[in-house]
Amino acid sequence: MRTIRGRLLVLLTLGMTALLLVGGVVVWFVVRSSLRDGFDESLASKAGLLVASLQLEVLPEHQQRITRLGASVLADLDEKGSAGVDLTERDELLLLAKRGFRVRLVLDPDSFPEYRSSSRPEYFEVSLESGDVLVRSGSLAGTTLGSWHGPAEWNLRDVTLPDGRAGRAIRVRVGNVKFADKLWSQAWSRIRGEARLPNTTAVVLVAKDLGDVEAALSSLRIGMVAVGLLVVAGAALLIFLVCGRALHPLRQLRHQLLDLDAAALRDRVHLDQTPPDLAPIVDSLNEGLARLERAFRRERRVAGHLAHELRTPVAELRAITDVARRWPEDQELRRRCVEQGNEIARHMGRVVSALLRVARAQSGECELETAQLRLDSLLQGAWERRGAAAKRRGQTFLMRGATDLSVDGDPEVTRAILTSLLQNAAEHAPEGSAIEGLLRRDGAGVELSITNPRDTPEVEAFNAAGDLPWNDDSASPSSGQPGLGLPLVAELTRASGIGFEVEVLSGEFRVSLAFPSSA
Amino acid sequence: MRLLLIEDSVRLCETLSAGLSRVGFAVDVVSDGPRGLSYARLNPYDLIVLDLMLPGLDGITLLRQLRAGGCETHVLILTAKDRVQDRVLGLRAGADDYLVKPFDFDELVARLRALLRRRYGKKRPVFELGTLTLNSAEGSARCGDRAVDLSPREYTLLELLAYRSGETVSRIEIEDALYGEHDLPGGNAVDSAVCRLRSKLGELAGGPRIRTRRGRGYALVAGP
Repeated sequence: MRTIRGRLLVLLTLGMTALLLVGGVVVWFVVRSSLRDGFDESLASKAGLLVASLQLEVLPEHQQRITRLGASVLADLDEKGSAGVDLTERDELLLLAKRGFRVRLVLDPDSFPEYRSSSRPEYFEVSLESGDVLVRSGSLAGTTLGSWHGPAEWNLRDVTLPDGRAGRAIRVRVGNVKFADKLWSQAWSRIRGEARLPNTTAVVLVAKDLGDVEAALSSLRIGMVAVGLLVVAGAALLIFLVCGRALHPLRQLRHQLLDLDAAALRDRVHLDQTPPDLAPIVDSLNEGLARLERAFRRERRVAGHLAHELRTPVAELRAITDVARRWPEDQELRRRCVEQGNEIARHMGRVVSALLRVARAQSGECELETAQLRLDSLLQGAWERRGAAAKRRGQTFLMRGATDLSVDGDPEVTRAILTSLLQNAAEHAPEGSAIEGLLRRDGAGVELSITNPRDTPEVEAFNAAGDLPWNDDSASPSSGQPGLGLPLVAELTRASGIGFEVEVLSGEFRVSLAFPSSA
Repeated sequence: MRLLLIEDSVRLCETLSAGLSRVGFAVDVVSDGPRGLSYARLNPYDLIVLDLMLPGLDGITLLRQLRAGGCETHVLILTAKDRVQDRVLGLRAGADDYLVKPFDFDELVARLRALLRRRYGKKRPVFELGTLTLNSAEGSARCGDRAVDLSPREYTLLELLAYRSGETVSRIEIEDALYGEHDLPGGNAVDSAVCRLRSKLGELAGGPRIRTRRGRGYALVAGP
């Protein structure tokens, strides 16, 4: 597959070449037609000259007698003849003329030297329509131009000249050749009633080679091809440069995309001058990059949370196995280690199960179950599971508000969320303090807030984007309780469609859950 | 040697407490920050093992307050925080060592023993008292080619007296080093422990001897 620049170059060059070709052909034909028309006009002019030079004359033997009569005799004859007067010698001559007044066509070939040229001669031939040649040019040297019949007075056609050259000929039918002498013309008119060639029509053929026209056309062809090639080459270069400049934003886009990798997902595509037609693509790419960055960041965050969540149980497990291996003879120690190992394994199993549940729900592989749940029962159960550790620290848990409210949710996930929140609250609350759970209706849903006193002086900020900066503190599953860190709780609530909000107040820490619907 | 373990994981506390006791440490366990600070201030511990993520008071703040109060006890931070900046922060706050979870129990013990040597200004892990050779890195004692059979508590007592060889160690100091807060030793527990160790040392030809300094305590001296 060629590059866009390459494709544009090829297509535009081909298109331009085709246009030039068509244009050249049209121009060539127009010029050719024009040249041939000019040639034909020139040929017709030559023929017209010949026709104009063609004259009638009385046969010489008759001419000598009749000439002597003179113009006055003819005039008298006309009057006397009409009046029935006696014929004189002059009348006899006239009668002779009446009987044998014969004429002939005459043309002086010497008046047309171009028809005698030895180099590229031209040809003419005058004949009667019957085929009898009256006169022909010296260039023909006894050969003939041949003859053809045409309906019109003037006919043109391409011919092969006697010397083999390509040429063009014109055929002119001449029916009204005039007498060379006005006197004879008048006499012929009186006798025959018209001053035209008697009983026949002359045919004039003129032929000339097309060498000049063909040479001009050949020059034109060569010139057009040369200019066309130059234009195509120049156009290709211009297209190449213009396309390069016009496609600069695409090239810039390509380079920026090539530079992008998983480590540079914060970068965005930025073109110096984004063309309007590329702007939607750039916007879509940047949106895609932003989504990808969020996905990667979330993946890293979840992986970090998971690693942290499992780090402490793994440390416990390793310490237990190390100690058990070091004193294998101590049965009591061994029994305790096995019990603790089992508890740790169950805890890690719960973490993995919850994470898998979230992951599958988010990827659409499965849906979370929905059941009607009494939150106060779940909270009390979760508190009881914390059991000994809370009692040892003298902590209590108080439920307030509308304690009979129920919500729709996945039992396992909701239980994991509540247990974790209570565990975290108890761990961060001072000894002897009370942890408070408040249930209240919030529109169509139910809001649960768990508040614990907090004597840690530092104040953390909550990142609304879902990053929980105190996750290191909160993610520690301590005291042997099956709890999850706040970051993983946040992931669970997000996957379950439960609102999750954290408030760090003066001396208090509050987590609020907004359940979307209640029964 | 008396050690304070400040760690919020009960399981880890129990395991470490059991393991460290068996290698001769008297272990006190605390699971939150405020109590950890209080214990460290009130008791003369040889070592403190400190977690950073503690309820109530985080480990770094606890350590800073401890150092600000003049406590010179060697502190080993034991935490899941493994980033370089976390280690730097912990050491800058006054910690003497830093170990990341999960960890090897033997490594923890070795690091604690190394801190003990630093506490008593010793560099070499092995030192000799007459024919008796004490290996503080391994926690063992030998006389010539023969291993001396000592209980963890006897070894700790011998190590304490050896670290302070030639000095008189009071009964209170010995009691603090041998027993944790939950051990509740009897009135003559120290005397009994000294008596048992003295008896075992007496069987070693050329080994050190424990002398009683009436009214002051005990001292380890070179053998006859």
